[in-house]
Amino acid sequence: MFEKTLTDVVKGIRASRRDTSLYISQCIAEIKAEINSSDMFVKANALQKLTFLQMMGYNMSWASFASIEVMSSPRFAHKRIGYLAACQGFTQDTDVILLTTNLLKKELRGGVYEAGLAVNCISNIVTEDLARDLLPELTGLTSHPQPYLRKKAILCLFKVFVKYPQGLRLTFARIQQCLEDPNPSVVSCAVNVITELSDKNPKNYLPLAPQFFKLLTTSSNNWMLIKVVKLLGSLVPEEPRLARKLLEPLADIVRNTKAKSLLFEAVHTITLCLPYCKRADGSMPANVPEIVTLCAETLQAFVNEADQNLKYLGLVGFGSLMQSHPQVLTTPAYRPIVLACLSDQDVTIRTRALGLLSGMASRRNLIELVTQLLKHVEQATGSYRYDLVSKIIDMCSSEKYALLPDFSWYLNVLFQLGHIQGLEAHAELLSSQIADVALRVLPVRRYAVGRSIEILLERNGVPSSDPFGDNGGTTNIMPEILPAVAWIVGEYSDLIRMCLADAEEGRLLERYKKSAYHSIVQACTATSNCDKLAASTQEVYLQTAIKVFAAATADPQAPEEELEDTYKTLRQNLPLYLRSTDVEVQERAFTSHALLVSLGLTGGGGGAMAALPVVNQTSDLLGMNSTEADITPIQPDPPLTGRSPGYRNAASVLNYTTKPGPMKPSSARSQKKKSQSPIGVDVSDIASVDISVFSSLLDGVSRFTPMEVSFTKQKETLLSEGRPPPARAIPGESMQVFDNSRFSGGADSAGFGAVSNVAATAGGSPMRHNDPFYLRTNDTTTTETQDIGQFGMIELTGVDGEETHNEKSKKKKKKKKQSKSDHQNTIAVGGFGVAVYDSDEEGEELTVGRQAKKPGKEFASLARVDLSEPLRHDEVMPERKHRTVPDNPPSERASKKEKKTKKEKKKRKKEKAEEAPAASGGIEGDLLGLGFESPMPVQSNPPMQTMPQSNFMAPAQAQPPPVASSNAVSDAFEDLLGLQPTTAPPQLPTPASQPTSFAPANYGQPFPVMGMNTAQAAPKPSKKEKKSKKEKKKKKSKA
Amino acid sequence: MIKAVCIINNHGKPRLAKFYQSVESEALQQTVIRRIYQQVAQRDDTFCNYLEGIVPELGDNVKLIYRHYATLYFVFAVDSQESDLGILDLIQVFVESLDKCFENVCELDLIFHSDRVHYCLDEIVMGGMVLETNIGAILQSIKDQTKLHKDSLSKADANESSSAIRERIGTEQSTWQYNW
Repeated sequence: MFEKTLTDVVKGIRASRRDTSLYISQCIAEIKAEINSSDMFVKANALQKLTFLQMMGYNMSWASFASIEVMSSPRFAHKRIGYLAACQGFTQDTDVILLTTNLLKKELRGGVYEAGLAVNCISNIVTEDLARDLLPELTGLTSHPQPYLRKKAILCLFKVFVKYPQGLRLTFARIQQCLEDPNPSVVSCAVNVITELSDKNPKNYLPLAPQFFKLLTTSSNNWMLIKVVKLLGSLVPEEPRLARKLLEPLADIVRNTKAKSLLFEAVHTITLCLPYCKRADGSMPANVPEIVTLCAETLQAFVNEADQNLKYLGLVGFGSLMQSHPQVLTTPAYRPIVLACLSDQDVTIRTRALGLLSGMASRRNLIELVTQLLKHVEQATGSYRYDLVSKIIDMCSSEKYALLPDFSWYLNVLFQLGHIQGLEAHAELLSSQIADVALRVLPVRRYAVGRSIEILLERNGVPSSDPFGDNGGTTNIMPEILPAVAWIVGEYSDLIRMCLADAEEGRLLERYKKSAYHSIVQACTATSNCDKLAASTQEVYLQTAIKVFAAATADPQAPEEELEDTYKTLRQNLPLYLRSTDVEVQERAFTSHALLVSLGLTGGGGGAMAALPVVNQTSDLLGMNSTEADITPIQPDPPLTGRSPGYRNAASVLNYTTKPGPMKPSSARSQKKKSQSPIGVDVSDIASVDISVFSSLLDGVSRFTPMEVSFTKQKETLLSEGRPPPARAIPGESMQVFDNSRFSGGADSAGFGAVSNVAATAGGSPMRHNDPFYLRTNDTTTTETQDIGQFGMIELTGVDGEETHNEKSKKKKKKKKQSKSDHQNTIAVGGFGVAVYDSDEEGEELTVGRQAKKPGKEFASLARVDLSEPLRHDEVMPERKHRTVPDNPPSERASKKEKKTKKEKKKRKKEKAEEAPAASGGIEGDLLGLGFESPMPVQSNPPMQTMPQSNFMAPAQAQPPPVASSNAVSDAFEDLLGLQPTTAPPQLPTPASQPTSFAPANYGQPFPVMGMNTAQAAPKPSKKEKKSKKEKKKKKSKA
Repeated sequence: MIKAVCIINNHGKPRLAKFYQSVESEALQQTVIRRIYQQVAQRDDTFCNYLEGIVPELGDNVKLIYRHYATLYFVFAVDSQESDLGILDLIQVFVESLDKCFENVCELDLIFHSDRVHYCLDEIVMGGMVLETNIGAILQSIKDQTKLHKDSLSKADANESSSAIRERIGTEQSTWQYNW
């Protein structure tokens, strides 16, 4: 029978296009039979085929043992196949790896290429056990006469260290020696390994810096220089002095080298050095500006290259140069280069260029940059388009809008983006930005309301007159933004009158000047307009409608007819929503409707009785049932109100119930943290509601109690969030006035304190000056000079509370991470989200993010290795002995123990007193032999055994210990003491966590420990003393 | 560090897959290959040879550096410790040494001799680190090993004692008669 060769299989696969998997499964079946053949040729051939199939995704773990068999074949050709199969097919969990140890060991001592195969294989399959067992052989190979094996062995050692970090301590001296190897390839490999090691924990390799520095200035091998430059770059953060020293030689390389790769790495490393160049006295080395210019010019040349790779690297380089010298790119000379890259075809380059933009943005050029970007948004496609939009928003909103010169311009940008189709993924971001700006930037609020009204009305079947959103004249804003827009109109509806005054000729708003309130209410409630909107939008719309009506009643300029029309529209439309399938919409409609009904408003002079028919009519029409019946039809009180005051009278109640205070979404937590509540109202006062606002009703319509007035759901949640409602009056105001920006005036309306919101809203209380929530702007387009005067003074940097709470909050950092969601809370405000920024924590979150990168999980233990400590006597090359159960290396055990809680440590201390005698007895024999055996005796609890031991030894060591190396006993003794600190440091309680009774962290130094421990040993039982005496005798005799 | 080396043809078929960072299962390896192919294949040849598309299976901050030769993509997945231009040159070294090994290498060579491609790569990259960049040295070791390979097949191995051979022939006659 002839077996298929690999070539046959490949041909077969290519021939059987249709049913490849069937063919392959046949092949695998054959392989399964062949691989058990006792003929090595057949077996190797089968394995070779299987290795090929593995590449195509077929599992070959079942053939692990066969791989080892083939590996052990004497023929080189078979060996190769076997080793390749092992490299490809073995994983960390492959159990038969255990069987390879001796085979590999033998192979490493064999011929050059056989050993090469084995080393290569080890580098792929090494496990912890293999690493420990083969470390001596591999270290030996680093001084093999053949450079071919030397370089392979060095590289392989890195893989060994990853699995067995202790090996690094044991053999690092050897690697260091390899840096001086006569063969350049070997040096290069050693540099390679140290670069990788230093990536995990740079501190260890600082002492090597001079050696590398020498290599940097003398070597001419570009491959190696690249690595050296990289390595030195990774050392710089650990030793800032190195940065200054490196600048000049690196600059020399930049000036002289012709190799682009080295050139780039040198520039890149310079950019890494620059942040650390500052001297202790704060001055910069004199050559820095020159070198920065050199870098910038080199990078510019890269970007201007036709070669896309160099262009990309130039942008990468600029990115890291900007970390230390952001001003480089803000110079006008570089801007066009980067902007040109934005329109590059290659998305990698575009993304990099985009990344640079945020660094380029300054207060002066932001508008220009964003205008450019907006052009790109229109042309861009795919995810790059999204990136562009998020970049625009990022640049504008970064650091609390620090760079933004003009908020009304920004609002326009946001609305413009909202009109672009295909950006739906960003709708939420856009809407939260719009709301945020309207909320926090008081001077621009009026403008925001004006624009929002226009957008609401444009939805109302009227084509947009918006100069920005006019994509073909019919495009409407994306519906996801509407809730934000509607909410702004509703919440700040008292500004509508002012917006109307602002309205320019030709703008949409101008057309509606006469009946703005009615139009808005109509737009928000008319089913023709709203039935296609999402329920969440409808909710906000309903709320907006009632708020706008409230504002209308409070607006003295609103004509009576408009009020009546508005009221009628509401009464007609609201019941329609009672049939909505969405519970929330239903509830809001019902609440609003009930509020209107309960206020007993009349539809003007002759309409005294008209209100009632409307109620009846709607209930008839829509078949209102039990819920509606609960509302007792209210007899209006026309004589009291006269012709029109019906609406006017309701103004205070309506306004109070729908928008009692300025919206200030900050989480309850941050409110508590502030020393002062933002509006000067104690949070604890919140519970009390100012009932006086209803006094008019109580007087006028005696049947009413405030309890019957429904508060809307939205307000309820916000109250509980700590938002102060009008709680007490400002002293000095004569009328019935509410401490609230909105309700400050009231002198003009008789009796009821009807409100002149219009002037008050923007005026606000002076206490807002200190409130970090509100942002200032230089926006001069608004006419409210008084506002600018009042709000222009808010200093964002000197946020109160921020400094005082800094310390506290640092401690809480850990906690915060867990409750991150708290920080960027999203409170449902009328159906859409408003991000709540906790100003105190924002900055901190950033610093946390900026923390140095942590090595990956698999390198964690490698990174913990400390090379600065000299090797101790117990740290010897592991020796392989016959055993079946592998003992864990100390480091792993240590990491396990680390997890043990303090409680356990305490427990252990207690136990130790009891266990001490037994332990000391057990260790007696061990003690003498120590230092010649494996680094750690396999025992469950080393500290227990060694600790008491040191106690007993104390008297004998009363005199200063003799020179360690000369005395075997003291050697052994030091072993014991030395065992603890590095091999298993976490097993001991750390100094911080440990009570004073213990000698903290001194076990490495025999001397002080003695004294401390003798004191502790005193109360121990006499039995132990006897034993210890025996030991002493033994020691003495030995000595 | 080099996390993985792949050769993928224009249709997404893997021609070589070597993972220096362990990717546990074969299925996962195939997803990595597919992901790499998807990202690489949609790029024009005039684009730059770097891709920051994330291959999450290989860890964070992994950059794909690739070159496109005729029908094949040579893709190296590397982390930040490798020089970007250096790896591009390394790919060139790899391709040149393949070219020398196979004498005008083409995709078919790689298909039928995937093992030899592995042997070649092993002389350039080991354990995720660059072993040798000098083409002369690379070719020399490949040549030596190929010779060893052939020798070991053609004649009875010197290590094998004659008795062992006799023993084997004796016991395994049934198989040998077909083979000879």
